[in-house]
Amino acid sequence: MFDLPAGLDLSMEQLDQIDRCLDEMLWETEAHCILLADISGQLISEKGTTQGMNTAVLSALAAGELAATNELARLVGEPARFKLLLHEGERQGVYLSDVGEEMILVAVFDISTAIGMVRLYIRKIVKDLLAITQTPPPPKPSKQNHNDGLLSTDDLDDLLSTRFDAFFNGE
Amino acid sequence: MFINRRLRQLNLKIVYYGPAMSGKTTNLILIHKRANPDVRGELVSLKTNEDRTIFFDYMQMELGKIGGLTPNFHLYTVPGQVYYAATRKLVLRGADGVVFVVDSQAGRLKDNLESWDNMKRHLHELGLENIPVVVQFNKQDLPGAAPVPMLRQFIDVGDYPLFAASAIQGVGVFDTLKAVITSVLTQVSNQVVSKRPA
Ligand SMILES: Nc1nc2c(ncn2[C@@H]2O[C@H](COP(=O)(O)OP(=O)(O)OP(=O)(O)O)[C@@H](O)[C@H]2O)c(=O)[nH]1
Ligand SMILES: [Mg+2]
Repeated sequence: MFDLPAGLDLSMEQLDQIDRCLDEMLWETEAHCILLADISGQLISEKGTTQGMNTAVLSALAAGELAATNELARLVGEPARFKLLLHEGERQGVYLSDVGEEMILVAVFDISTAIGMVRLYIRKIVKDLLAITQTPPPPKPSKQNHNDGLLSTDDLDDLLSTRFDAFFNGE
Repeated sequence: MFINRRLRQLNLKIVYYGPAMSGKTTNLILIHKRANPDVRGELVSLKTNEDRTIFFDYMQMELGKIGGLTPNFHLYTVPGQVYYAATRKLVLRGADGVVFVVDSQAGRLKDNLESWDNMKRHLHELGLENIPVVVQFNKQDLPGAAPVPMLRQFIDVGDYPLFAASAIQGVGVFDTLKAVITSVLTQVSNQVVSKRPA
């Protein structure tokens, strides 16, 4: 696994483990859906019923909100961060939580679901997710292969010189 | 940056930064309007009744495959008004590239400088001082706009790529976007290459 200065780079194995974690929580809590994103709001995994829901935007907004909330905690002199954010609607509740320093979790529940249970589950899954992402993945047999085809200069030239403009011909 | 190896997706964040009313949101609106529906996501704007950005604008854009990966760009704007400094810094978190949008009107020079210094400080505090920056001199269509060479003397843009623009007329918007995308992708591929064992 190459080591980039910033950002997350999760292996297939880690992504699979994350999926299993989210699936389990979905099953146990009957959440409508659960999203995991990085702190800048880029979606890592989504589980449950997300049709008709713009999950990319949802995670971008959630990341912004958690960032703002943490800043708010700092401003009022709260030594820790606020652990969990809850938005209660008429039919659904949305819970937001940090997962360590690098990820965030969004869970959408039916309003009838017991809050206490959700809290408990979120605490558990945060721990599990941290364990998954903080374990360094086993070293790859060939680093060369691992990075192969990531980005070559030719690919880049092709994208920028021939294909770029075609993306923007709408009016 | 977040690399999703299963979807073979390279997620990159680009932030439009600059003083109040310089045209950051206008850039994004135009990009969204012109982008083919199959490459762009929804444009979300968190704004006041007067259309001033209060938190950020956001849109996502997927520009086909390069090599084995699909780069997925997440474009954000910050709120330019002075008292939203804390929010600007939050939006800048995790950025892979920045477009600094200058308001070229002569009377706005001080605001531009202040915002530029703010951006530099934020980037430093976030450990992002080495990410690519592209500078756009916007509102060049206005009679009160200072020409680019003159603005350059005041704003210490160093070696960053520069573009004259009139976002409202659609001039320079795509050159700017292309430049920041190029710089970001080049930087990412260089990092990957330089980390390879000899
Ligand atoms: N003449 C002219 N007006 C422009 C141009 N670009 C933007 N504007 C206008 O400037 C005003 C502010 O534009 P916005 O894009 O909302 O500015 P912003 O940088 O997002 O402002 P904040 O959200 O407050 O930080 C709007 O009335 C735009 O129509 C330009 O190139 N030329
Ligand atoms: Mg704006």
